Amino acid sequence: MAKFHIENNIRRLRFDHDEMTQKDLAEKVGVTRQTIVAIEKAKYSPSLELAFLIARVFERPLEEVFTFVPGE
Amino acid sequence: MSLKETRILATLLSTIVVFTVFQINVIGKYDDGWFAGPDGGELIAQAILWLIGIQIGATILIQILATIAVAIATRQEERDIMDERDKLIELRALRFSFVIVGIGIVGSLIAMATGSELFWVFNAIIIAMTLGDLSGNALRLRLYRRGF
Repeated sequence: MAKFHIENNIRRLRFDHDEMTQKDLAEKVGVTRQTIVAIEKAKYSPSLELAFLIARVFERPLEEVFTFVPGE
Repeated sequence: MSLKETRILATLLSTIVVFTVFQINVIGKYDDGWFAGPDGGELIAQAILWLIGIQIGATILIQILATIAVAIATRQEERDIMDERDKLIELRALRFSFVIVGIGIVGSLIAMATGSELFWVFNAIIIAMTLGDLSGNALRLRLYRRGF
């Protein structure tokens, strides 16, 4: 399988949304704060369902929150 | 360190302590000829049942203590839910544990087939179960800390 990683703008989007905390975002999408931390640090790629839920919180399309970066 | 990581670490430590005490105890009894008589099988089974009971009790106690310690240290209550990442980590760790336990069970059957004493056959099963538990928890901790 080709290597890739998924980048995200969650940290910036949280900041733009009245400095929303990781805890607040976690509660809005029904996961633990640690999962939000892992996603922000790109240590965990969320399911499609969770990715859509996060995008919905920020009222942005999915591709503005997550970016697929193909490897070399 | 999060509540889940603290709980896993505490469980790892309690498993090591309980298992070490158990091994020192039963190997001492084995050397004294405790399990050599006709009721040796019963005595081994009883010792293993005691180990399982004590291990479950110790795990519950240590998890309660870890939860209290984290709550005091962080001064906030952490939501204790299992989300998709937790479930994935749990699945991977369980699969890894099963492989280790499976290898151990086959090893104990080989020991039995080659005429080893019943004590060592049972002990191999217990060692496999404990190693499965330890390696599963170690993998959980690694996946939580380093990601996947």
